[in-house]
Amino acid sequence: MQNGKAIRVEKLTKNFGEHLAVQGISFAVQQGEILSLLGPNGAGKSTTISMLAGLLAPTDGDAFVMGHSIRSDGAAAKKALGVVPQDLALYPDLSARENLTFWGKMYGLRGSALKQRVDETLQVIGLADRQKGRIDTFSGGMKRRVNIGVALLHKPQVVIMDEPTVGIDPQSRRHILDNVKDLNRQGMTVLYTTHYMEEAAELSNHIAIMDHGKVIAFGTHDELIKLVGEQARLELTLNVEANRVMDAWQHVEGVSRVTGSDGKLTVLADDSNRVLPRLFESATRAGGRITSVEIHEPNLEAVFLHLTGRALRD
Amino acid sequence: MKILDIALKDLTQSFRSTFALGMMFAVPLLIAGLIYFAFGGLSAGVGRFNLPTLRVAVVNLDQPHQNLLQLGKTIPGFLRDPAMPSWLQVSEIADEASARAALNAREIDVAIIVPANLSDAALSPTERATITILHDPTLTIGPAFVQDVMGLFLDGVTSGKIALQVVSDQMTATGKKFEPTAQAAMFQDYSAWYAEMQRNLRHSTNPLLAVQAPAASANQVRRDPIADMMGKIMAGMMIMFVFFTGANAAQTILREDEEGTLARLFTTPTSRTTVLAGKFASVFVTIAVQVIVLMIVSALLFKINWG
Repeated sequence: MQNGKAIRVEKLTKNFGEHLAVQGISFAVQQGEILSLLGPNGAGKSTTISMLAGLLAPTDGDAFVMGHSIRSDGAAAKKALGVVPQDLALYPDLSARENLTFWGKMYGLRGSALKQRVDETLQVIGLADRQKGRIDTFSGGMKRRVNIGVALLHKPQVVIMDEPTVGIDPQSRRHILDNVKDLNRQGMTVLYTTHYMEEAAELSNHIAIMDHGKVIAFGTHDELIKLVGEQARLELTLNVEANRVMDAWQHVEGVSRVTGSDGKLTVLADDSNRVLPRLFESATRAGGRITSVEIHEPNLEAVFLHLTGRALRD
Repeated sequence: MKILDIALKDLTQSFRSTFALGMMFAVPLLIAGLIYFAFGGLSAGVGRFNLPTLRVAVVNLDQPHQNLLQLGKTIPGFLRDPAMPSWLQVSEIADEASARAALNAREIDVAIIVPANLSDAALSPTERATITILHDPTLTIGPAFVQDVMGLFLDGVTSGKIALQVVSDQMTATGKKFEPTAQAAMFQDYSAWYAEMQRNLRHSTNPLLAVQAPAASANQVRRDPIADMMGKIMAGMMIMFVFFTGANAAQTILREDEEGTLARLFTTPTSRTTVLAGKFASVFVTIAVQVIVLMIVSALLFKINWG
């Protein structure tokens, strides 16, 4: 198992002609954890996943799924993997049960084992009561759930999910995220790609931030946040000149730095909840009044901005 | 096993598609059905392209002087011979005017006017007689048939005359007299022999002219020509729509590619060869089912004998 690593990616490279889609990336996913590949569209996340799933042959480098090389032992790697593609990949004119049964057979399940796994999967995705309904009669969220269920049928050790929540309603999104956490609690390793930083932050043990085919940062959520510092940035507007409060605010407990001019000030603080009441009080004592407040907590968006100079959703 | 799974899945999808079912079964049967209803009436409901009844009237004006030979009287019997086709209906009318009136009134189709001197001319080396055939100008096949039949009759008369002439010349050369009664008797004998010869020509158990059709012709006589025609049309329909079905089934590969299921299949431990073999198996089974169903249904609907 390669020292507890469910997935090990080594200098994986994929070129499409002169376009370098993935440029020699390396990272590892420990067994039983959720790793999110976070990055904007075109960062190379789906290409990386396509190589791991055996859909694209790497130009260079290799990757190992549960110790099986995707280049030399692709069939074993595929058996250990469940793949949830970004777009729905189901047969719309078959029922949910027929779809699951067919895909189960493609993973080598047969007979009573197949029936049992289909029943269990229908329970997991919450569609046991709609199992005979044709897929083309389902809502978008229900289709997404069946799409995920297909990847879970053969009880894979590793599940790859390629942006499974794109374009669905909040309720189905919540259901899917809860499903991912449940699966992970049961010991399943999940490689999750998304361009929603909230999902990455909520789900992941580790996050790999990708941009232009490279992994530009890798670590836990907290580790990545530390790259931009842990302090919150407060943008405040006053109805008086800034210099009337700046000195006083410099000495407010929890404030590390105050900059600004005219009626606008920027305050760096460890904990905005505790510092803000003190700033209001200090402003009042100085004869001024705070007319607006913007709080910028440190997040992955800020990390990406810090690393690339661009917003994550640019 | 996975090949069968893929084929079964494709078959399920195909047979759930109303469009595919329509193009597989309904459209070829519908087109064949339209052709059947358009041309099926030609068989007159009995399964054969029968000629309509030909009503022939014989006007026998033959009046032999010595009543030695009465050829005119033999003509109706000749036309009523069992070897003649069943659609030939023979009657007799007393005179030519009545025959013409019946023809104008479309009560008869053909009238054979036997001249008064037919028998006398048969026994005379110099006399000539003319049999006249009157017919409905709108008819072609029936009158032509009667003309051929009467040509056969006159061949017999002419060859009888030649035989009499030869015998007469030989008897004259030897100074013997050839009596009219002997001539008539000889002509009668010759006529009987000629009629027998004509019968034996094709219709006896030991015919002089044995016409044999291929072995299958015995069945073909009984086969419905419309069914034969429909068989060819239906076979053409099947070939055309089988191509459509094959193309449609092969198109499922492209559809799966567009819908992303093909890529997903490749993420499973299923080889590309297996996927392709499954698709081909599905095409093969679909076409086989289509052909079998079309053959059975068309045999029931259009009486096509696929054997």
